[in-house]
Amino acid sequence: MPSSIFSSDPSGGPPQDRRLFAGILALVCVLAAGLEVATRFVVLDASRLQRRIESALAEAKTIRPSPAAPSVLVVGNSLLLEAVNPDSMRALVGQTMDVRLLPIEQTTYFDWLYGVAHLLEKGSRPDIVAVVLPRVHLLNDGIWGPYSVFRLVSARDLLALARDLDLHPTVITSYALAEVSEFYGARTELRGVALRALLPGIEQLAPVFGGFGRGAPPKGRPLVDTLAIARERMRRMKATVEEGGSRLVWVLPPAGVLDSTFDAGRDQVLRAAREAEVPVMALDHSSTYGADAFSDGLHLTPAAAGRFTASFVEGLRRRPLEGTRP
Amino acid sequence: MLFDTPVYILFLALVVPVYWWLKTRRRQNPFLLAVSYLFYGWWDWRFLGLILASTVVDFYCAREIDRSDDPGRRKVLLTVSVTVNLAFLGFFKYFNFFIDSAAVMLGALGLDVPMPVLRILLPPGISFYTFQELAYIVDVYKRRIPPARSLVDYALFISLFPHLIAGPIQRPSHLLPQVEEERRKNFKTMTDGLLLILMGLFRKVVIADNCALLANSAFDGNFGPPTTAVVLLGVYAFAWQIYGDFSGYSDIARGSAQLLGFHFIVNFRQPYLSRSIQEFWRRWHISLSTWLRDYLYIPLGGNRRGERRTYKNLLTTMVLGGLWHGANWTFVIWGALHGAMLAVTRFFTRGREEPDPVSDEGQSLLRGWGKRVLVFHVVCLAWIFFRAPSVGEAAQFLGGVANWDWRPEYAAALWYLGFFTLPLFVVDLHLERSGGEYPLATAGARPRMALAAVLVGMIALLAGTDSNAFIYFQF
Repeated sequence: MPSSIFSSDPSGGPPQDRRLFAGILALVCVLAAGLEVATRFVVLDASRLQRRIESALAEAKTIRPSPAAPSVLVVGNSLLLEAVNPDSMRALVGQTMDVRLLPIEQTTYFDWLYGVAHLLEKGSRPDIVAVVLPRVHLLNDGIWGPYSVFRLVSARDLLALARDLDLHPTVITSYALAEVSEFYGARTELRGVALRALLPGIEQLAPVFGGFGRGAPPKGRPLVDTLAIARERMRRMKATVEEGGSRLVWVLPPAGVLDSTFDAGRDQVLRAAREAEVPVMALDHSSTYGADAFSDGLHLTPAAAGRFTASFVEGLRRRPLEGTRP
Repeated sequence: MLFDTPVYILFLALVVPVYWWLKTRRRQNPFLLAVSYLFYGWWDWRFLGLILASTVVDFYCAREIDRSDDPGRRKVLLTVSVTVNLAFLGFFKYFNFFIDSAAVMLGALGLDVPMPVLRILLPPGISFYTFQELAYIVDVYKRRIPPARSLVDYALFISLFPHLIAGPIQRPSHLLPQVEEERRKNFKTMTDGLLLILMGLFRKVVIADNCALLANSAFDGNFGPPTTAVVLLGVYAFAWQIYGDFSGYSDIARGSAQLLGFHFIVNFRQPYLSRSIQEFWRRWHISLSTWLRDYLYIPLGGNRRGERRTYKNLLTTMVLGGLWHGANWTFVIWGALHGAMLAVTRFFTRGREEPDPVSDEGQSLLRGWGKRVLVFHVVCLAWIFFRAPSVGEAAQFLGGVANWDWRPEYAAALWYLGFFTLPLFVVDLHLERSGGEYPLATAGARPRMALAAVLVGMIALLAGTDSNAFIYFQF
């Protein structure tokens, strides 16, 4: 250990130091480029979650209106993922509807406000857009970081998003990088892939860390703010959806064990939806989904998901799907 | 601008070439000052006024102190400067703490006095630059150094962006001459700088941010009520988190400075390999511990006024050092614990020759490692108070040690902890033997290229998901 706290040698180095400096800089650049390429062509294939999201996104972008079998794009987060059984849904709807599910974990209102706009911009044309988010996620102020920007936000919407979320310039810069770098946008998922490979059993820590894809619900606003914010946000979502030629349906899913503010909050969301003229499917009845309906206090068990799927399909059928173009 | 964000990398990539293109100090210093203020104002431009005000006051006070031979006038000027600096620090950092503490004390006496509560934002880096300013004014007063030649040079000494927010706290005698002289481009130190930045990022985003997940889960109760295993996992994770976090920050700061031709003092030297608390403080946050020694402990009398006074000075210095970290009783207790342990160690080692700080020679390997393990655990005990939000919560968490219970996820957490702490432990063992500032510092080009590749790979794939701001930013 050097004896002085001022330990670097201040004298000049030999000429080859310039080459080493340049070499390390070049190496870092090459590695960054290599990671970008690897992310695009190799690494994402290793992630089951990523494959599912990529495939769902691709399907969502190709959905088209159909007079014979109305098309429905269903977006949401892990609540949707765990609440709808795709096989049961396909069996229930048969040829009567073209329903495509797009659940992305940890997403909330702003992910989908900009996400739906992005999908419509990319050519998605469903008859109905069903947004499956409970009150707490409707009122959440945030998005799921660079991953969400990478997947769901168009570059042209970045400044609008920054205004909505009052983002610090440092965060805006990171999000801008996520728009252009697949590696940076997807690095959370890459980390998950790497850790699962290096540390078998790490999934056991997911509920403790609140991560690896299925986090705890974000903290909501106080009940008193619900009506005005929910109304404004539903109006914006409706305008975005209708701009793309579709119609919006809001779905309130069961979202965990209920607290004392549940009923009052639900009433306010329903009132906000009426005032924003957004049709709502309220499928969160506490009588149907008691504490035993949730596997982890938040997500539905497979049995409860079966009940939810049936109610959801029935709800979609009851909506006036004919003549849905605004 | 956080060091581990893309915008800082972009900032550095733009600043370094322009800085060297400007060639002379006369053009480089104003440019560096401007970009340093941009770096600082990036957080919140409103605090620029504060740093500017204290810079101007200190610069002119120091100049007048140097010009004057009148001891009374010199003392008045010193008092003005010190008062202004401490007033800024006291108001922004400690106002609500003292008001709250006074209200609690009066309440305990049965007096219900309404106290003003202000919402005060803590200016980033105020604790660090205030200490640097105090060192400057005291050194000029004691005629250890001449005052800065120009306001731009002095302002740059205070606000040079790599150290501005969380140190290392620079000594005027070390950094000011560098600011006032021409810097020469030296690719050897610039290469070291690049590798220090990569090493710092590895310490921060791979070690600290991943350990933070575990520490936060343990301290926030995500594992359920604290048990023996949760307390140990939580405090070990936090010990490595704060070490990785702050030593990583210091490495990035030092590396960034070296890219600009400056040299910053070393701030960490493998602190968890210490065999006594004294040694720990010679290895942990060296720029603060030496500052406290030179500007507080020694002026208080140090060890020159008898044993009892020495213990009192140790305790006072460490309590104030604890309070410097934050306006909370938890930091006071953390400092007091360290002060008490320093005093106890001193009491039991009186008259004995100090062991060699590097070598285990003269004592068995087992004894050396036994001491290291003991010191590490004593430090960990104090970390509980440092990390907990309140004294009550720290006591409650600590109480969990008696609650023996085992759950399957503890084993996964233990693997996780080992996976993210062992690499840094191995690096520390290597640095302890080699004396380098980063691994392979004296090796040839190929090993260092390989090191860079490994670090980039690990940073890319294993960086923690949550962006945890550097812990010391809040101080």
